[in-house]
Amino acid sequence: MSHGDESRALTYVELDMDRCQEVYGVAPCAAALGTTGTAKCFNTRPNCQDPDNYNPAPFTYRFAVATDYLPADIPCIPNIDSVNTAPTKLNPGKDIGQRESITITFRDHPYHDIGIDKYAQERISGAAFDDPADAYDPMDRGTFWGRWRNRNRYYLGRKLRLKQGHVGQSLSEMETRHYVIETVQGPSDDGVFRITAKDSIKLVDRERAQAPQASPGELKNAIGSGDAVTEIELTNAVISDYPTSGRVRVNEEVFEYTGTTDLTASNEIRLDGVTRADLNTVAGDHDAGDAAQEVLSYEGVRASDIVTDLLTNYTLVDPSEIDTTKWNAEDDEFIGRLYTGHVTEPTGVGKLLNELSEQCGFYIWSDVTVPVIRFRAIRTPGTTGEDVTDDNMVGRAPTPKEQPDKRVSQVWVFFGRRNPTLELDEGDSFRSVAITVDGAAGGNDEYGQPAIKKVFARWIDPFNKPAALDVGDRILQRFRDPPRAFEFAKEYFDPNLKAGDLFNFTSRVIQGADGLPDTRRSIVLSFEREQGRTRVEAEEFNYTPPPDPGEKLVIIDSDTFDFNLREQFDQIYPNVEFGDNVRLLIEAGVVAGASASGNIAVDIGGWPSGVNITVENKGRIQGAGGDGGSGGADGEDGGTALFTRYAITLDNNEIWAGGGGGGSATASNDDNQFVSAPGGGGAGTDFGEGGDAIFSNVDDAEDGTATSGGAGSTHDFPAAGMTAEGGDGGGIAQAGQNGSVSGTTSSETIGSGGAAGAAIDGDSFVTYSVTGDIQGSQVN
Amino acid sequence: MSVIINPSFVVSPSKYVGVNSPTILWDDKVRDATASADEAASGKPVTLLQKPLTAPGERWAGTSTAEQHVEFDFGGDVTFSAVGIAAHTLGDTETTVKVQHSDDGNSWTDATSGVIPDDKNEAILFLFGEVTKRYVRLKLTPTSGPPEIGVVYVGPVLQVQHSIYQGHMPVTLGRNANRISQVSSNGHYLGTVVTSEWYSFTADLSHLDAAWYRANMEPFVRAALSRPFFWAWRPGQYSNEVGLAWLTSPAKPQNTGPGNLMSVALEMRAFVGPLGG
Repeated sequence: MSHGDESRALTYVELDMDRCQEVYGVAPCAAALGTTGTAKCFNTRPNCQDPDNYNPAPFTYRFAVATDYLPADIPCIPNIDSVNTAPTKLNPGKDIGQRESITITFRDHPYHDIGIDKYAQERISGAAFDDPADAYDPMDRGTFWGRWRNRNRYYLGRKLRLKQGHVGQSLSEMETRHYVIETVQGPSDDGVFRITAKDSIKLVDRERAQAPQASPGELKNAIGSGDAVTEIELTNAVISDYPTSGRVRVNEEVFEYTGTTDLTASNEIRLDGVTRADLNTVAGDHDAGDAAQEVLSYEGVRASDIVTDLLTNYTLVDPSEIDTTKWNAEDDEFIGRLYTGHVTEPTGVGKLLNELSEQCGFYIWSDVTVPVIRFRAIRTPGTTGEDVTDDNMVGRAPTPKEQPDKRVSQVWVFFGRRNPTLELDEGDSFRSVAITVDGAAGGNDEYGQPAIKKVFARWIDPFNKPAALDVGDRILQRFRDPPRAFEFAKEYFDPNLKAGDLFNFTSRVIQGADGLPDTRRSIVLSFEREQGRTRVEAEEFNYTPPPDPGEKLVIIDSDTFDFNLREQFDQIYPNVEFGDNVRLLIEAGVVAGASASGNIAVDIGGWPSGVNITVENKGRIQGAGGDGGSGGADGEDGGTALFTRYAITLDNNEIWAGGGGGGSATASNDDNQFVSAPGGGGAGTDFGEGGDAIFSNVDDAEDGTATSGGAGSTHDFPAAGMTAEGGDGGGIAQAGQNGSVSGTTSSETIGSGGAAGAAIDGDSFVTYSVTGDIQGSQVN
Repeated sequence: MSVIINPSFVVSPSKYVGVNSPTILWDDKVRDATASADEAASGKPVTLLQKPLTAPGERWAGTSTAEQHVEFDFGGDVTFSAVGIAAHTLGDTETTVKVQHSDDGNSWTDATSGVIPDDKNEAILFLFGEVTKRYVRLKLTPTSGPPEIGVVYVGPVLQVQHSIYQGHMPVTLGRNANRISQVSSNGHYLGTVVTSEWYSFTADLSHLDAAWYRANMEPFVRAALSRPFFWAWRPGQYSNEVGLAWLTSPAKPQNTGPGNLMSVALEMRAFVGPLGG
């Protein structure tokens, strides 16, 4: 290396374009002059004369910024006029930021095509033509870029590399930034040709990057709201248009299905094993021809795995740029939660990634120098990294820019979407809201007014309130005091700062109260090498993670039914192991009930040994009431409130067993006259329903309520001399009454009242820290 | 040692012209010749020598350090007195170059020769006595690697009527650079980055006989609109100051004085080679 070489900058651009590896007219290529064409091809697809044997492989063009010191051992065409980048700009904690793009301006010029066109010499000699008189010298006809555009019109998505270094470095030693070609322009009449390329994540912004993809199928037949449906036939669809099992959305209803069948008619398939009104949607009326859109569902999945799936299956991102193992490790260590979301219509992948970034607390960016897509959780910024000071910044110290628009003092996170077809940006679409407030930040002593940030969380399910609270904490940590932004320059060849890097910024322009420079922990939002220097955009990175709670919390913050702690835990936490502390919190005023008397209100579920489970019940756990009998049938038993076969510690407010349903009664006499009265529903959540009368002149029995049983009905038939009375439903933790008959009868069917449910089934597994109000039996 | 003048070289028959007159090789015969070489590396055919491109990758290359030849068949007799070579690695490969010519392609006569000094990959202009031949070849004897050559010109030279004495920037010294010196916020020098370098200069040629200009300069400046040329501003005195030059704007001569004389300014850029090899 000669003196000063290390300061002589070199800039190269490489394009990997498809070029056929075969030779014109040589097997397997069946092209022939005078038969398939009058001139030999250029080994690219647009001019191929034997497409069946087109056999492409990447062919690399290398260009350079013209300078007299270009190294002789790096072949290139020095026709680059300028390179302009719009660098990646991170937006940690808010969204996936701005992706990187690059525009390269080339000069157009004559060119000999040697090394590019396999038959360049034959075009001069005439051997490349059916009529040798057509011979020409490529140097004398057209221009490099004019011909390139014609031969390489399928440039979209092809690889482009920007290499920047200095004399004395080999190409492999230079910094390389990787992109994919988005578009080209030119050549213009004044000899300018431009190529625009993007980083790979930019591909998520493309209009076609939608998840799920639009589904083509339409209902073959109308479906009424009351129709029982077990299969759905679709027209205008083939079997590959839909997953083998999953969900489809038709209008505002979601159907789940378990299989697909390819029908004999062309473009018709059938969805089998269909369940209507899935995901809390409502069965509706649907017409033939209504669209059946695939639903993309993630249930209890790591954020990093959702991102991986979106990028690899719904964009053109190269999967090799995703290190799933590394992403999962970062996710498990610093996020440690699972997420659930359903996307019922084609939605931009960029929008979904922005939502995930904010709701799950991570940011991703394309490190075009590797290339790799990086995934990083919002986490403590640490202390290591470059020290940027007034001594090593190039040029003037930056002017810190206040960003008041980023300030947040309250975060309202709406979560637990009622059903996935509802509008995403309306609070009414969600069951719950987690509000995190920094009162001081909005108070008169500080900023003087609240700044409210609303998050409508598609990805946080109803029992994942801790995740919703995390979102609030995280945003407040980052933006309670809005970070100041600043731009500065570093040396052109500074290798130490890249997008996403954390560093220490010390300058006289950011001072402490005593006037000394106040070192600020900061993050590189973007960087680019331009005009002989490295330009850096950065901002303060304020984040102190909340203290580790030492437990994995599951919260029921709104009324729910049939809750299984283990199943829900597995929807929101990636793992459980020996020594973990798991706490179920049922908030005050909330009732955890059961949807049917045979169901359990709260089932602790199965756990590995060594897990410490606490149930903190500040609301009520209540079994379902049994339904009243009808037509002489017994009333149903009341339901169980809390079931466990695993040791738990219970801090209790109310646990109530379900009341039994009242028995019904039926009788007849010798004249073949009948009486029949249904029993009342038992108390519970959900309450037991009163039995239905079988005679139109007899009232149905009353439903139970959460706190009382419903009255049984009476069938008095004076002319027949008989009366039937349905039993009353049992109150809280009470058995239902038996049905009864009076008068002269020849035959009687008396239904028994249902037994009360158990308050706690598994009492021996329970250690009571606060016993509270337990109504009902405690059994094992 | 970029201009190699054989004793047989004869200056133009003019009372003014001398060996230090600006010497231009522009009427290249190589482009229309048939080129061949004993060796050619993959992707670096000998035909690249016929395209006056200087970039790395636009060069013919041998494959060994064996003695080898690059030959041009003009298809008939042509008259020439110079061979220009640019964009090469003959210095790096310490190659001895001998220019030979022939009537039949079998029997060769030396025109002139030279050993290119180590690391000196500057443009070379061989000047020798004018001959009319069908064949020319370069006999190359490398010692430290296969040679590469980007540009070869063969042709007669144009010698300007008068030498240049003052107010001229020699081709190899007309350095230009885009550069940025970096100073820290606190005033410390942090280094300088050079983003590109090139050579440019202007030759003011004056007191040219008007008839001579029309007969000799005008064909040159017309061809130079689209083709580079070899330029040696004072070959006898400054033999290492030669480059492959091209006009950056069309030459526009003016009549000067009462004596039917003309002057013209040639604004040029040049590839001289030592930086890029």
